[in-house]
Amino acid sequence: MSHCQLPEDMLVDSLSPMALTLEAVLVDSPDTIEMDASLLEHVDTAGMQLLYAFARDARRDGKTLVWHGLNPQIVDAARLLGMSGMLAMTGH
Amino acid sequence: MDLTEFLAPFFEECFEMLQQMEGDLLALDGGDTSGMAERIGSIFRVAHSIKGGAGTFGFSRITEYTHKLEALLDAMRDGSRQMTPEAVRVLLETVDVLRDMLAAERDGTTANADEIERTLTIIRQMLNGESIAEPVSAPAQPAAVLAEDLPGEPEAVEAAMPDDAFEPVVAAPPFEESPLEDPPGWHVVFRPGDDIAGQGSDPLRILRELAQLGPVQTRVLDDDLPPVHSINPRRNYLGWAIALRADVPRDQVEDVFAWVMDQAEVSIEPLGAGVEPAPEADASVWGESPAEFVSAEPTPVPTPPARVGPDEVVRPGDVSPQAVAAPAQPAAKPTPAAPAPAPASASAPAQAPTVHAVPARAAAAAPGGDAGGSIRVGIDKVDAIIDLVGELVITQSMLGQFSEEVERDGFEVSMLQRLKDGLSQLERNTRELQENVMRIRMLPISVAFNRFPRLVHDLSRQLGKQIELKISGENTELDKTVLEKIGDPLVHLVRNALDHGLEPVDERRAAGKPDTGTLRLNAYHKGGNIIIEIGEDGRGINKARVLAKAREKGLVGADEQLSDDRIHELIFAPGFSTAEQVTDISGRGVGMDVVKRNIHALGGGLEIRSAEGKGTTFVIRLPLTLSIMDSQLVVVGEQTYILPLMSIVESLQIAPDFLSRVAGRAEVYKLREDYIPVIRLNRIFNIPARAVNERPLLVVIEGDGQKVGLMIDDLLGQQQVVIKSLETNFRRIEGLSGSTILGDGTVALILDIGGLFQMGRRLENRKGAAA
Repeated sequence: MSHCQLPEDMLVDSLSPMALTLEAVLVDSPDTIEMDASLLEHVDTAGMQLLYAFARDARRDGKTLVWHGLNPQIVDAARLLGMSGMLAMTGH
Repeated sequence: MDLTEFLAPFFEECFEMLQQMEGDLLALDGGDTSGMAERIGSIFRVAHSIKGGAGTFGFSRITEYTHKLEALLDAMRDGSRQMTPEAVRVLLETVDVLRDMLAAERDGTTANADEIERTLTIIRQMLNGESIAEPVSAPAQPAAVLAEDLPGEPEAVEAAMPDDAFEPVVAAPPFEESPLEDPPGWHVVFRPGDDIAGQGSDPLRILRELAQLGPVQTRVLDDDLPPVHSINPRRNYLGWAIALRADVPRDQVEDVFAWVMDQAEVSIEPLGAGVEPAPEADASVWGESPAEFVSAEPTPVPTPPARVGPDEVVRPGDVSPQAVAAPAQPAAKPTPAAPAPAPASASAPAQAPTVHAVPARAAAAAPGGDAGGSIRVGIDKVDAIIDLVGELVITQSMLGQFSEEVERDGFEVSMLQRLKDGLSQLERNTRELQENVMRIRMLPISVAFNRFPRLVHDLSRQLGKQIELKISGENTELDKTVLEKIGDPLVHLVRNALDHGLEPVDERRAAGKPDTGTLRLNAYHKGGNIIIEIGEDGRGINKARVLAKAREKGLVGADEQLSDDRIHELIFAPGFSTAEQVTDISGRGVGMDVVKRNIHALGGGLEIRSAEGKGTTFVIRLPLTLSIMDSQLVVVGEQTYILPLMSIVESLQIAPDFLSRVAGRAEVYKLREDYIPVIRLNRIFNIPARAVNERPLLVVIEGDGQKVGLMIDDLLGQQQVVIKSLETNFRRIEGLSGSTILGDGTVALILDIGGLFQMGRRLENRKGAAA
């Protein structure tokens, strides 16, 4: 299992380094990726879009996301954007 | 893309699926509650698949209808609606409606709009809990737990449908409080430009604002989203299709998007107006889902979310093998984004999204359906033919080698045996090849039998009788053409058996029989024929009543005595019925003669076995195929004719004393106790009679419910002949049904028994008139 700590903000202006980081996590991780969202407090559409693409690529590679410390606002954003299925935030 | 070539298979599959749905419903109706969940799941999948396919071809009415049906079935799957006998009845009616709608699309006709509306109204009522038993309490397990158990289960396949991607943001009121059918609301398709973030707008904020107006369900349109490493975070690649379930004016919805109208494509249409967000959006995502391989859906089309708990929605991610494990830490609770009319935790979303994905690629229906005729052949049958062709090639090379040896060394008597062996092997190969090629056209009789469970189910209710249907031999195969033509006669016989044969419960009790009557359908092969039996344990044919009725109608003389068989035969007389009361089901006195005539036209026969108080069985005998026939070769003058072996009762040498004329008209022959009319074939076909034939032969044939003697000069052998159409190769000739080519290359004509009867009668009438 590999661990991915998400930052406090995932907003459009702070995302540039994130795409590469997430790609590296995708390549390096075995079957399960532990997504630590305990710090994550603020997201916008761009941030959720990145997470969505990451989750989709992970699924395509047969990998599983396990979320920790999800903030209700993040879950709510995922639902509003129609992403909670892909992000596997269902039931949180 | 031109989809027309896929239309025929689509219709074929739909009808097959409906058959399956009907079977599941009938099983449920029969009280078989084992595997209830699987059956409901299976029925749901039928509705879902038809919806998907119909959407692809642009059959929007079918899409809408199945969509509503699906909502009901979905509620049954999650337990909020129960599959009651009443529900089964309604669903059976929807099967009929769907068949009608599909046939209408296929044939370019119009479906029965009243029936569509009537059944839709009932579905709505059922969804609103108006005419169905109180729902059982919904399962309380969290979705994540259930989802883990789902892979491999039938429901899992369904739950993983791509169109489950709608996200209920704010849980809507439960079923009981909210009519599921087209509540007021709006379909919004929102596709922001790629620079929307640069313009200072955030779609998430807009969606939050929209959710303030009422419950929304959102589906992300991600067809343009690149892999994560290629993403430019400043660029937007996504779009959204949103169902807003709120009775708000359009202006209010437009206001939400007012700030981004110049940076986005926004369409706002009333819910249920047939507005469909693009379905392809999710294909790239769900295309990888194992469920897609399992379910083999023709096209991903939105469907109501598969509910597994009171307030959750199963999504593809929950059911794939890569499903996310439930978090070890306490999960955060979602909070409603906005004040909602109902508590977020209340219940499942009240309505399936009314968003359809129907590409506007309507394909023209091919009128006439499958009139062109195609047949699905099992690969085993094709393989068997390929094997036989291989054998044939080996035999050919063996004979070729033999021929070379003879050419080289000259023929010796010792070689004769080898030649004979080779030829008999060739004969065997040819025969087997012929049989196997014929098998390609063979279909199991279950194709015809499949309609009966439903028919029996419906009629037994209508008649107030308890009837159990037992089917056996349904895998017995027969020619596709024969199968298609036997369908209607079978239906008539079954209806007749249910209506006239089987007694009402009180009558059965009085006769000491069990309340439930049994109708048996059986099929088997016997001596190159297929035998179909339709039997019941009812009251049997009341011979006295049949005879009385026949005398009343003047079919039988007042003092005439008839054998049991002859009395039974009377029910095939045109216009004959002993039914005391004419019912909708049968009993109008038309039909039984038509049944018999149809079976005769197929070269078959129909017999009755009946015992009073014990029941009646109709036995249909049919040729396995219409293109090859067992035949008797007969000679008239110098011509060879072919008689279908099936129609021959017996052949005998004419005793001149038994040949006489009745009242100077018809020539008859005394056959034991009966007199049968005689037809001289040479007269009918104007063939010079043999100069000297002291003892001509009489072939007794049966057709149209009577026996006739055909006077011929000689009998040759019996053999199978391949029937060649006269119409195709020459023209139609009365008294002849076709032709064939004999082993010596000569053409022989096949006699048409029914036609001969008519010609014989006309000939005698003319003679009578002349006399």
